[in-house]
Amino acid sequence: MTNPTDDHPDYADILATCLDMVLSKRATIETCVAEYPHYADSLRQELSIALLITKLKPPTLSDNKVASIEARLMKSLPSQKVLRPHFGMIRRNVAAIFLIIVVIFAGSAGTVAASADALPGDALYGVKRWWESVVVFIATIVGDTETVLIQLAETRLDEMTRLAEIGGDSSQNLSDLASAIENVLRYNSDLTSREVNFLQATHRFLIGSSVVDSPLAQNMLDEIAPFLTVIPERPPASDMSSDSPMTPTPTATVAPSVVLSPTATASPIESITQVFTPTPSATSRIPPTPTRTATPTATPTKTVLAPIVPTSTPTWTAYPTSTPAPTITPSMPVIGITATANGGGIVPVPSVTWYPWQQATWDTCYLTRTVDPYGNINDPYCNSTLPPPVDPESLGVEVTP
Amino acid sequence: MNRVEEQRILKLAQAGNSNAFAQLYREHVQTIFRYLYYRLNDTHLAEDFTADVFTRAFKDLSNYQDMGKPFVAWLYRIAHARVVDYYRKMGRQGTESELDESIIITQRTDDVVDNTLLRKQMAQVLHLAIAQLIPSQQQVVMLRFIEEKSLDETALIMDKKVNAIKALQHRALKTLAQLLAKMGFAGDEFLGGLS
Repeated sequence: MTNPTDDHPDYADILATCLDMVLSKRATIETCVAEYPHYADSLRQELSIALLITKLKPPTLSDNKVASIEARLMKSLPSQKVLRPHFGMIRRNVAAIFLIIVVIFAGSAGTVAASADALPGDALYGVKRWWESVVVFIATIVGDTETVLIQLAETRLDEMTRLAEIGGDSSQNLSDLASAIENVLRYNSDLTSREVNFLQATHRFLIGSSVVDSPLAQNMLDEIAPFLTVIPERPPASDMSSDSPMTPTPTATVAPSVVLSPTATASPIESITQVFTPTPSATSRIPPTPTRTATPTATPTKTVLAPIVPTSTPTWTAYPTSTPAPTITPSMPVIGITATANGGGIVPVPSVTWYPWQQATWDTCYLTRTVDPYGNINDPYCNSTLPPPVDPESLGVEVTP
Repeated sequence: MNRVEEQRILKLAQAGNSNAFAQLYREHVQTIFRYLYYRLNDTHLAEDFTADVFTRAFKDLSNYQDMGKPFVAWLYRIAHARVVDYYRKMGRQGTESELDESIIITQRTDDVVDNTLLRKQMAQVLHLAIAQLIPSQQQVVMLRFIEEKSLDETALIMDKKVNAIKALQHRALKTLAQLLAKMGFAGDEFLGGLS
């Protein structure tokens, strides 16, 4: 029995209120139902089930079992090395530097470049996957795992799609796609529009594919289902100004005035300071947003010092200057600086992103220089799409595929 | 154990103090076991996985960072990843559970059915229905109605906003109502049977 009114956006709030009242015995189901007669059927049913679950005797481990697991656990612990975070950090730094050197050489060899378009079953596919695992490892160290994971997830989906187009058997790679989805969902609670787009594309692919009936595909569709929500467009700046005492400059932006000189150092420093100079631009892709801490003018010239949160294992130093004179040597990895709008005003969010010459559509604005396989340094560019301002799950709106 | 105490013990455990880790284990073992039990619907498997979750937690403890969330939220994440990994290796859907509906319906329509047996059957039906929810809905049901966490606490543990938790609990209860209806039970009628 389904009451059609329970899809109303307020219903989840009403149910939450009633649940608190009923579970704390400050009201009965019927008093709540009487208060919201429009939702009587749904409320009565859902409150009853919630109350019923609280009456279930929860499964518990017996004391003996708890003790035996503990004994087993303790037995395995002495064999562990004493945890020394400081030693771990040093070891990771050394490993990072070593791997970066390996990656530079591997990248210049060109094999990796050749494997970029490889599909499962191709001779170079193993090289491609090895390269990806190296990238993930480095991303973990520099703390930018989420960006890399969504890129890899898109790659898996692209491979599946291409395999399907050429009539290949994509069922073997379904678990890779499932793993990629799981990685994206595991590290994110508030998905970016890029991640939601990926999930929607995956949903479309699975629905139309020959593997849709497999249990794994069904499981993936279940995992994806809660995220197939409508993301509202960000309101125009004029609508937002009412919440803020300042008036945003129409096209304030962060100019790509940061020059990156990545330099691997033997003694990584603990913090990095970058200088951002916001300048107005008529062609900015970043919508202006109000800020409570700064009042942008039509010609902002103030220099903003944006301290970077120190990472545990900084392995690169980036000294932005006002002169775009990169000293990147060919085949060196590229460091991108992320700038994103955060509530109000443009806040440079330092984020060191490494990736080779493959380009992707990033969610946030990346002021990036890239190096192609021949060592040419391209002009900086900026991709900007603001993250969704509202948690998609809180909308409770599902799109029927 | 309050947050300050937990953080103190965590630091000891991170320094390699196994007694401190044992204290954390005893504090959270039942919670993690219940979570695994509902996800796996198998007591023995849940016991094994509980041990595994804490072993992994100890191994990774040096990487743990207190991001303002309770320690148990991290344990939930490890447990969740372990379950997902298990079902992926098994190559079957995580929420599939066998349910002999015919037995349940027969018992329910039998006038002389023993009340204790009926209650046991109904509890079993509800367990199976919960097992068929998607993982995020299962977790919200467990945290809200079995662990009796508040909306705020649940949001913190699940790393979601309170509004998302409200929407999630609504969808979970709605799905449960549909599953129970499919099995021949209405929620309110079901409650009467257990009271």
